[in-house]
Order: sequence, then structure tokens, then C-alpha cells
Amino acid sequence: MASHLLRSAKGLLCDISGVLYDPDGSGGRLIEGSIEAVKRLKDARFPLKFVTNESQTTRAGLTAKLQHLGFSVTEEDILSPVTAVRAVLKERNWKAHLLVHEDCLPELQDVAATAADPVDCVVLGDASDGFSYAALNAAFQRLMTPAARGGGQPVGLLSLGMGRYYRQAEQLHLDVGAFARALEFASGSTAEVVGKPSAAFFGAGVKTLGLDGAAAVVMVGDDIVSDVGGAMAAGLLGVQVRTGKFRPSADEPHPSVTPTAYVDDLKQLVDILLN
Amino acid sequence: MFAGVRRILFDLSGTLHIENQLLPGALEALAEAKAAGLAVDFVSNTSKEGRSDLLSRLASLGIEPEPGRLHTSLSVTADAANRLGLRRPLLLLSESAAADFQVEPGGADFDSVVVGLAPDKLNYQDLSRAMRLLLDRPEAPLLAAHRGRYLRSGDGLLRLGPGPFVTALEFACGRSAQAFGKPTPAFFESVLGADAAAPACAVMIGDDAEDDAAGAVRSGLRAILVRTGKYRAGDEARADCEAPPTAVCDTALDAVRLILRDR
Repeated sequence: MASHLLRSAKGLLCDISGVLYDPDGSGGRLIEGSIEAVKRLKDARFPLKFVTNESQTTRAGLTAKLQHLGFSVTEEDILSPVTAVRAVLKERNWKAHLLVHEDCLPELQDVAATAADPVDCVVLGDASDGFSYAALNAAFQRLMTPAARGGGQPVGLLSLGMGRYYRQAEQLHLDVGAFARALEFASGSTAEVVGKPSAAFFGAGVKTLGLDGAAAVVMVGDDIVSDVGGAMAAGLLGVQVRTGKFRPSADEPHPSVTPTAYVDDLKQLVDILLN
Repeated sequence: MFAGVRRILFDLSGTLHIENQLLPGALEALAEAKAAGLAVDFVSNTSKEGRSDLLSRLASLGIEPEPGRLHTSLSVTADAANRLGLRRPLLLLSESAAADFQVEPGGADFDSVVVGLAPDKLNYQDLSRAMRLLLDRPEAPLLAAHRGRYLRSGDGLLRLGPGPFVTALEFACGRSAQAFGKPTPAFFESVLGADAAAPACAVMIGDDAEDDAAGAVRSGLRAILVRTGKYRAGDEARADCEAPPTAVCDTALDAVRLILRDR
């Protein structure tokens, strides 16, 4: 039954880290069969976006990295939270205190507040070593002051994802979600998630594919809660790969998420989608 | 309001002092309580300073707890770690606080994680390391000195407590920490002892509406919230409405005088 659902799917949102390649602190390590799988999808003109919660790098940087690994992708193929949050801030005319990876700062320059400006929100990304006690404290102090837009509004908290952890260089590291929860707890505010697993983000993804129905779109990822669970909660089909941060003992089966299907890797999924 | 009170638990940071400054009336509050024959205990969620450093700081301020009358979240947590048979905790603690714990040598073979207020250790690398341990060893307990959200430091600014970082680890690892400081019942029991009648004779005085006042009231004590330290207007309304403070006063001295007047 799962195969039937997958064979009639009309679009694919494809997680990058853990599906196309594994990050390893430098160029990244290819996951076998992924390059050919992507090429097959592109040749078949299958509606496709690469979805990343990676906020450690810009879209241009990510594209370059994927091209360097051998993938046939362009910037327009990529849907990232950094791009999404800049659009959100511009639409709301908000200025932000940024606690994000330093590589993202250029893309967010025109929505960033200086240290002296009052702010409308804090934007939290995967800052990695940027998550020092001092930096988290500075973000917290902002959350406890009134917003620049006045009217007694609290300073908002936008989180570029709600992931718990990710794999890099053979080890698991805390992801932005853990730090978002920390700031929520400290300040009493609730983070607005701009990224997986928010329904709004997956909804935007379906739209960018030029499709209307989430039920005909597959999300494939390695994070069973954030990628697969999040997508299925937004009405998409969810496929879990056995690569990346997948942990057999904990994820198959998983106590709260039942994927539409488990596949060994992206190659196996594309074989089903295109045949 | 305060009939039958025989004992006062004074919170330290934010109530009697902020860092190396006594708050106005602090020593008078202690003197008047003692002169009236009340037993005086000092309770602190401090998890940045071990007992030795804390006693030195208090002595320099003129505050000298009687033996056995200084109770900290670290001491209660260390006792709990001992009772649980934990010999090699991974300590996310300052050097000073770590001195309160007994750690058997054993390299990197940790059997638990203990989190306190440790600005040097509450960062991406050290927290990720603790997370990996907790994920690899589901049986290893995650202990928290306390879940304090923040406190107000000497420069008047708010600073994150250990609570948010405990929440981060709980979220990432999908499990719950055990906390031992205020406002847990375990803490108040540890201070008051096993006598069931003890809470009714005790009053907690502190600046934290949730950890000091509500925590005490839920454990059967009376409580006075003071408007110093981390207190912000309206805190009493935002804390546990099932456990409101018995009274709210401007300072610890006002609180002591209210108790003595109303006994």
C-alpha cells in the first residue's frame, strides 16, 4: 500500500543532510547512489526541492557545496530557513537580534539590528560554537525587553528549525531546537518555527513545487521526528531513510512516528517514485 | 497570618545580598529574627559556588550560618547522587561547585550528568558531549541542581540560570531531569527534616515568586515574597496561582518585622 501511495506521488521535498551527503566538518561525505538518484529525478522533470534546516551556511554556499560533491543543483532548487526567515522579517518590517551561524550573517544583513537598536525579534539558527553562555544570555536579555514596534508587544523568538540534534563528523551535536527550548523556558515566550518541522514551512515547500495537494508530495529525510513526523503532520507523505542520523534501535519502529515507508537510501526511493 | 512560626528560611542571593553587596536591612533582619528567638536557616539555589567559597563570601558580608543551617541546591544534589550510588558524574559545574561532589577516577566512563550554573560549561561543545553520554547510556541519570530560569546580577542585568540548559538536554534526549533545589519538595524536606509538623512552623523569605514562595507554600510552609533581587512587578500573579505567597514585602527586614508583629 505504501508503494502505491509513493508511485502516485507528484513531487518530492528532499532533505539534504543525511540523505544526499553526511556533513563531516569539511566538504561532506557523499551517500552512495544519491547523485544518480537526483539526476534521474531531474531528467524526468519530477518536481523537486531540496529542503534543508541547515542554517550554518547560505543558499549559495550550500549550492556550491552540493555541486562540488557532484550534484546537479542550482540555488533555486534549495529551500532553506535562512531564506524563509529573511522573507518573513521583510514582510513584517521587523529588525532582528541574530544568534545564527556567522556564515549566514551576509544574507540577513538588511534585517539585522545593531547592538544599540531596539529589536522586534530574536532569530535563532544553528550557531554551533556561537552558542556560548554569553551569546545565549544576550539573546535572552533581548527577549525580556519590549519590542521596537511598541504597543507593549514582547520581542518575538523565531527559530530556524526545532531539531534536537544532528550528526557531524561521526558525532551527534545539539541542534537549534534544544537552544530554542532553552530560551522559551527562560523567557516564557513561544518560538515561531521557520523551518522543519513547522507545517508552515512544509506548506511553503509544497507551494514552491507548484503543487496544491500536500498528499501527493513526499518528504524524504533522516530525522524521523523533524523531517518525517513534521511533514506527515502537515499532510505530506513521509519517507524515512536508513542513512544520516537514523538510529535503528530507536527509529525503526519509532514510538510516535509511523512513516509512510522506510527505505535504505534516496536511490531506493527514486526507484519506486519513477517506476 | 504568622501564628506559631518558630523558624525562618532566608533565601540568600537577591534577598539578603547581591554578589558582594548586602541588601539594605539584611543584617538587621537576621539580628531581629535571632533576638526574637526564631531559628534561622539559609537556603540557596546557588550552583556556581561550592560550600567553601559560599561560606567565605557570606562571612565577608557579616552573615554566619550556624553549623548545619546552610542548605544549598548543590549539597542536596550531591547527597542525592551519593544515595543513587553515582560515582562518576559528568559535572557541568564550575570548579568551585564541583568540589562539593565526590568523583571516582575512571577516565571518561561517566555514569550520570549533573548540571548547575556554569557559564564556562554551558556551551555548544560541552552540552553536546553531555547529550551524547545521555543518548548512549539511557540508564545514566540527568541531575539538575535546580531549574532556575534566571537571576539578576550585580550590574542589574538578568542572567540565565541552569534551568534553560537542563530543558535543552531534556528536549534533545527525550527524557526528564531530576532536580533537587528549590522549589522541589525534596529540597524543603532536606532542610526541614522528616518531622511532618515542621513545615507549619516555618516561613520562607525570598525574591523568586516561583522557586522561593510557591515552592515553599506547596511544601506546607508559609512564604513572604520580597521585592528585591530578580523580583519584577507582577511576579506573584504570574507564579503558581494555587500556591500564592502568604504576603509580599519590599525587603527581608520588612518581612521579618511583619512576621514578628503577626505571630
